[in-house]
Amino acid sequence: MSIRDIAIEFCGRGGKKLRPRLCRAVFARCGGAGDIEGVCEALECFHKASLIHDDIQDGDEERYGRPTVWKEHGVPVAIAAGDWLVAHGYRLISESGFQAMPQMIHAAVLSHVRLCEGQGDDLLASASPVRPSGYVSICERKTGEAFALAAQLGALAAGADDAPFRRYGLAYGILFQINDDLADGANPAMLAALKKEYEDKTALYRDECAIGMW
Amino acid sequence: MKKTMVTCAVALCAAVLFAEKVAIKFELPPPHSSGTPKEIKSDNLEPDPGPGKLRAPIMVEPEFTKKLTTENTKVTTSEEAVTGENDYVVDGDKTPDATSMLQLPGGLQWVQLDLGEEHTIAAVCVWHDQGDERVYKDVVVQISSDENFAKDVTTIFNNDHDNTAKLGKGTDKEYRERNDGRPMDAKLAKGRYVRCYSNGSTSEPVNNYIEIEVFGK
Repeated sequence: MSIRDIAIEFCGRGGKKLRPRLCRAVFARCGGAGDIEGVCEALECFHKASLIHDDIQDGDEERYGRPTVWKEHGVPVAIAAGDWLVAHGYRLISESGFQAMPQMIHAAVLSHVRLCEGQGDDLLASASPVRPSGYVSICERKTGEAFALAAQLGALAAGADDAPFRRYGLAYGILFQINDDLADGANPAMLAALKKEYEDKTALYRDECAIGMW
Repeated sequence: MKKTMVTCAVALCAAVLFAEKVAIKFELPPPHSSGTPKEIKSDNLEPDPGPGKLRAPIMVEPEFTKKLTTENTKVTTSEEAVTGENDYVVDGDKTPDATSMLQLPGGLQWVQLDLGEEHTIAAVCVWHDQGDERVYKDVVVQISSDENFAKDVTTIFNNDHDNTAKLGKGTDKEYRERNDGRPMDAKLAKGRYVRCYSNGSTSEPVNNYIEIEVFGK
């Protein structure tokens, strides 16, 4: 079994595929022509890579009802499988054939940098008290960025202005993380207020984008 | 007296014979942005009716048009869900997004509905995920009075044409997932339990269910 096999097998285990869905919906909304599926797959590769690495960092032993990659294959192999998915994702975007491919790669790189910084800050701040501004900043980078990128790539691939879609993706991603943390029972008072704020923002930006169901 | 009885019998027969059939009405979610059209290779795939064209309606006598599934219908699955909750498939939310999706692991899996008591079932409609253009494999829908489906099993739909699922070779066609789901004619089969099988899709190994509705009396 190769690193590629391990990585691809993990991608098939499950997940809601929210980021590819968002990318497809934006691409369709913007009247995109061409095959967006490779870009969607790239987004899922980036996400799955972050999960593999996240499970190592958090010491989580189970995901999708099965042992995590590091638990099953060991930490060094899991790191390599995550790295392979990141590299594969960039390859898929670079081979997607869209005219805006250089901008798409650049957007993915910037997003990746922010995501790594957000995840890093989250790990470093885990022992400190969290304030709303710091919390939102971390959510924005570690979760919001991935959704922002998904929406952005759909728009760029379709040759459209990516700004409103990126704004919607970012707000949606922050709301997604707030709901996730609320389900875990952390800081309920602070999160309830933030949830309302980001529900309103998400609805407003979604209307601005006139995006369909995804 | 005899003449009256004969007249009544004739009238009853006529009522039965000529009772006007009606289409079972499924409430449909909005169409989904399913991205780039894909070429799906299968010898057993039915022709796509085309955008905006609904699949053929199921016609029954009006008494069989009652929706038997409710948000309280008990739902069980072959294996624990990967994401989502069992009751998502009967909550009435057919929004074609990931927030209303029950996801079961890869391989042959089933979702089973307990209607609470024996019913005459006219139709079952299944909405799998339509996150992208996809076809679910080995879709088999059965009705039974036995919770374990060990006896009295009626198969109302089976597109497992090569018997991968080992439930018998099916003659129905594979189909693309769309917002109108897949209405299946149960031909007034009797049973309490409805079991829906699938074996992953052309897009991914896992099995994603959005909603299942059962109609009958």
